[in-house]
Amino acid sequence: MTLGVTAVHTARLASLDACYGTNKAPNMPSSFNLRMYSADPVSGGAELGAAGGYTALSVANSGTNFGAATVVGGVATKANAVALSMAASTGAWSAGATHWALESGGVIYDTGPITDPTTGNPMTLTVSQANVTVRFGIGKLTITVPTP
Amino acid sequence: MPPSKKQPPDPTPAPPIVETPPSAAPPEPVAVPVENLTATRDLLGWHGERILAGMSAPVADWPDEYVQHLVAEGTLQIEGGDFGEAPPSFIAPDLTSPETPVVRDLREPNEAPKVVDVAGDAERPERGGEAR
Repeated sequence: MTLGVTAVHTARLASLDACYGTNKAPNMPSSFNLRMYSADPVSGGAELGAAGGYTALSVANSGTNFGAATVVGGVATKANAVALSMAASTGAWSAGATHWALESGGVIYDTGPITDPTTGNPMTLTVSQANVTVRFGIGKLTITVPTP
Repeated sequence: MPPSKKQPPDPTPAPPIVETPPSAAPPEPVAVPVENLTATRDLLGWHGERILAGMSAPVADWPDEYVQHLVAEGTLQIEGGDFGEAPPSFIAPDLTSPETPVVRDLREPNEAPKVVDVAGDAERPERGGEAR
């Protein structure tokens, strides 16, 4: 039997919805910590230090913060439904940030590079002064499952 | 040999007696009439109430700078009292309104609030070839 693309999407969308938002599975955390890393945490990158007022952002795993997964450009996508703003800096952060992660209980559920919202190119986020707020606009923090 | 004549000791000059004028008698405490206190309290408002609490009379017991300030600005007139002018170093507080917290913006010009928009995608890797 050959499944169509729609069926594939349905499965991937369900997979994403089972992790984030209203229809999350019971074993999924009720909230995540949005953290910043100076390198890919999968490869041992460390989270930024507390200098400059950096602190992780607590994000409730709710339908308010994560809408239902949709297909965007042929890719099953889970995105933030509200802007996620880190606490305003009080000075320079300890290092440039290249990656973010949604973590809970010491487990990183998803992680990816920080990118320029306009170009999509990877970037190093450098906060060098006070009163800087790092923000993921609506739909700019995504978890995707590529379609083969 | 005749005994040496004992020299009389040099007369020690008596300590000069300096006539000092009698120090000016401290002014008699002057009680402020009740009506003046009331007027002062009304004018000064909250701050005045706080200042006046526990020191309603005599005025001589009030802090000099405070009285000088009141006299200088004409808020308070005291018979028989001469408190002069407030010293230039005395910065008169704003006594006509309640004290309010002073919010100071200590930010440097280059520290104006700034929002940096970023994005990020976590692409979940495909696993093997089992699900196609």
